[in-house]
Amino acid sequence: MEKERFCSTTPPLNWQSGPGADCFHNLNWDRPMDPSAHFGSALSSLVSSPSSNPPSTTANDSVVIHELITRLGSICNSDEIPLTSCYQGANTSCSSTPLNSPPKINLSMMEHYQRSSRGLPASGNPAMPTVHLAPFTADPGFAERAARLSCFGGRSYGGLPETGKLSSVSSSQSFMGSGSQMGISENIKEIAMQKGAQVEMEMRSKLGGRILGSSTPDSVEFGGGQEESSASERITVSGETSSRGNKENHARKRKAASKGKGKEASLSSSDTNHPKMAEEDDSNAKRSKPAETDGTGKVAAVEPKAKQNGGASSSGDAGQKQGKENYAKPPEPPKDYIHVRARRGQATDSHSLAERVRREKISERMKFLQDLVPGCNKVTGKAVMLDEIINYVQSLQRQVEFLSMKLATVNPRLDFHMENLLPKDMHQARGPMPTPVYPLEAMSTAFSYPHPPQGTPLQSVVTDGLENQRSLNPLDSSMRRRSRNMQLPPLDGSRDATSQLGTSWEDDLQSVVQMGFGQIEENAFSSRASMVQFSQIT
Amino acid sequence: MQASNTFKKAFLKRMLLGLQLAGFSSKSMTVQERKSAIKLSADVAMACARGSANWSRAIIADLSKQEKNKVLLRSILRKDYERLTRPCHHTWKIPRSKKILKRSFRVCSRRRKGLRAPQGLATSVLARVLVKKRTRVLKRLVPGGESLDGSYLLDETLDYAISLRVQVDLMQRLSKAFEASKVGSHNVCTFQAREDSYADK
Repeated sequence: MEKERFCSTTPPLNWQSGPGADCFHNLNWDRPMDPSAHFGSALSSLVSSPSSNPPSTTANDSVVIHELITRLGSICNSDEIPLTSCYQGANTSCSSTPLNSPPKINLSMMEHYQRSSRGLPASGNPAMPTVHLAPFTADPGFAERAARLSCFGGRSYGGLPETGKLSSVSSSQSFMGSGSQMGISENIKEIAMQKGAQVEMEMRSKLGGRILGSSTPDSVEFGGGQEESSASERITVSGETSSRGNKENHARKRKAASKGKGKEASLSSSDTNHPKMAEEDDSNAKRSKPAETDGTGKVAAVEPKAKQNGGASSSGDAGQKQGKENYAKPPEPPKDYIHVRARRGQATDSHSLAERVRREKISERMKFLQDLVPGCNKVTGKAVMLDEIINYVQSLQRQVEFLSMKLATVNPRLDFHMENLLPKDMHQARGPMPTPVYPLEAMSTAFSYPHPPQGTPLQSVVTDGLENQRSLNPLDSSMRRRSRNMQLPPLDGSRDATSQLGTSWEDDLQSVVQMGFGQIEENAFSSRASMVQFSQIT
Repeated sequence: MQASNTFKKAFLKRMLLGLQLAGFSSKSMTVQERKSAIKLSADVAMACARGSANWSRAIIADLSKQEKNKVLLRSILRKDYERLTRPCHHTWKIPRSKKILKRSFRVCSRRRKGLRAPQGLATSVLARVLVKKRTRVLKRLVPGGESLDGSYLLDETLDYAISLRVQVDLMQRLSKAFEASKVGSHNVCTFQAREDSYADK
C-alpha cells in the first residue's frame, strides 16, 4: 500500500514529520513535495528498526534494507533528486548538509553498495544480490550517473580507467536486461569495487577537506545498520585521528584501494594525486605527521613510491606486506624519486623502505673504505670498521704533521729554490729504512752532477715517486738510476736556463708529464714505519 | 683506490708554488712557523687540486678565516680562490633536511621502541652507541664533516683519505729530495768512491 503511494507521488519528497525525517529538512530538493506525514512515519519506523538491530547480520536487517531500496528506487527516477540522500535520511539520524552535486551522492551510493556487498557477504545472505539489483533496474538514470561518476573518478586517474569503467557500466547495463541476477550482481560488485576503490579515495580526500572546513560533524551518511553508521563515522573523523573501532573496515578499504591501485597505477612521478591520496590515507593511521614531513627532504625521494605500499599495509596488517612490488631502483633517475623494490617478506611501509635504502648506501660506502684502509678485509661490522677508518685518517694526518716538521728542519732557510735541489734521483726504495737509502742516493748524485740543475730534481721527485719500482736490490736500482740519469739530460737541454723560476717549474713539470706518470704503489705500512723512523730520528 | 694523476700533478704544482711563496715572505722564522707554513701550503695545494669537494672547501674556508693567511692563499690559488671560497649550495640545504630528518627520526624511534624492545637489547644498543660515538669522532676529523651525515660522511671520508694519502706520499718524496740534495751537496767525492766499490760487488 505504501508502495503504491510512493509510486504515485511526484519524485521530490519533503520529509517534514517524524523523528527520522528531521534530517531531510536541510536537504535541497528541486521540487517541493506534498507533506507526507505517513511516509515520514513509515520511514521513521524503518529507521528505528535498523538502529535497534544488531549490526548487519540478521535477515531482518536485510529485509528492511531491501524494502527501503525498492521504495526509494521507484521514487528516484531520472531526476535531480539524489537517490542516496533519501536513503541516508531514512536510515541514520544525523543531520547532513546538502550534498549538492549528484556525483557526490552517486559516490556515496556506490560506496554504500560496495561496502554492503563486502560487509554483508559474511552473513551469507542470498537476498543481498537482489537488493542491489532492484534500484539499478529501477533507475534509468543510473547509467548517466555512473558515467558522471566514472568521469569524476577518471579526473584524477587519467582517461584510461574512465573508459574502462564506462565500458563495464554499459556491459552491466546490458546485463540488466537479462535475467541472471547473480551475474549482474557480480558485475555490479565488481564495478562497485573498482569505482569504490578510487571513489573512496577521491571522496575521502574531498570530504576530508570539507569536513575539516565545516564545523558541523556532518558527513556522508551511508545508511543502514551499525556498519554503515560506523563507516560514516570514520569519514567524519577522517581529518582527525581515526576511530579505533573501525580498524578492520579501514584495513579492508585499504585492501580494496590498494588492489585497485595496484592494477592500474603506474609508478610514474607524474601521477601526483596518488601520493597525495596515499598520504591522506596514511594520515588516518598513526603516522600522519612524519609522513607529511617526510614529503620533503631526501627521504621524500622514496616516499611517493613507497607510500603506494604504505597505503596498502596498515601497521597491523601483515598479510599485505608480501608481494607488493615497486619498480626496481634506477641508479640516477631523471625524475625526482628513487624507485625501490620492496623485497618479499619485508615491511613495505615508507619508513622501512627509506631506511633500507639508506642502510644499503652506507654498507656500499663501507665496502669502499674497506678497500682503502689496508688490512680491513676481515673486519665486519660498522663499529669496528669505523674505528679502523678513524685510526687511518688520524695516522695520515699525523704523518702530514711530521713531514711538514721534517721539511721545516731540512731547509732552515725555507728557500725551496731549484738550486738547492741538486740533480739526483733517489726515491727508489721506499722501504722502511730511509737512512741506508741516503748513501746510495748521494752516490748517484755524483753521476748526475754534471747535468744542468734545473728541473732534474723535480723530475726525479716526480718520476721516481710515480713509477712503480720497489726493488730491494740497491745495486740494481743504482744501475737503473744511472741509466735513467743518462736519459734525462737530452730533455733538459731544451729547457731555457734563464727563464723565471716559477715558469721553469711548470715547464719541467710538463716535461715530466710527457715522460709519463706511472702508478704509485701505495703502502701505508711502509709509510707508517717510515714515520716511526722519522720520530726516532727527530 | 688510487687518486688520479692529474690530481697528483696539480697538487705538486701548487705545493711547490706555495712553498716558494711561503719562503719568500720571511727569511727568519722559527721551526714552528716554518712547519705551519709548509703545512698550510700543503693543505691548500691538496684542497685546490681536489677542486670542489666539501672537505676541500672547508679547508680553504677555515684557513682564510685567519687574516694573515688570506694573502698567501690568494697568491697560491689565484683564480681558483674565488671559485673555492664561494658558499656551496648543498651546505645550505643540509641543515634544513636535517631538521626534518630529526623530526622523523624522533617519530621513528618512538615507533621502533614499541616494536623492537623485546629483541636483543644489550648488543644492538651497545653497537648503536659505539657507532654513534665513532661517527662523532669521524666528523671532527674530516674537515667540514660536522654538517654531514650517514653515507655522505662516508663519501667525504673516502675522498679525504685518498687525498691525504697522496699528500703524505708527495711530502715524503719532497723531504727525501731536499734531504738528499742537502747531503749530496756536501759529500760528492767520497760517495763516488763508495759507488765504485758497490759496482764491483
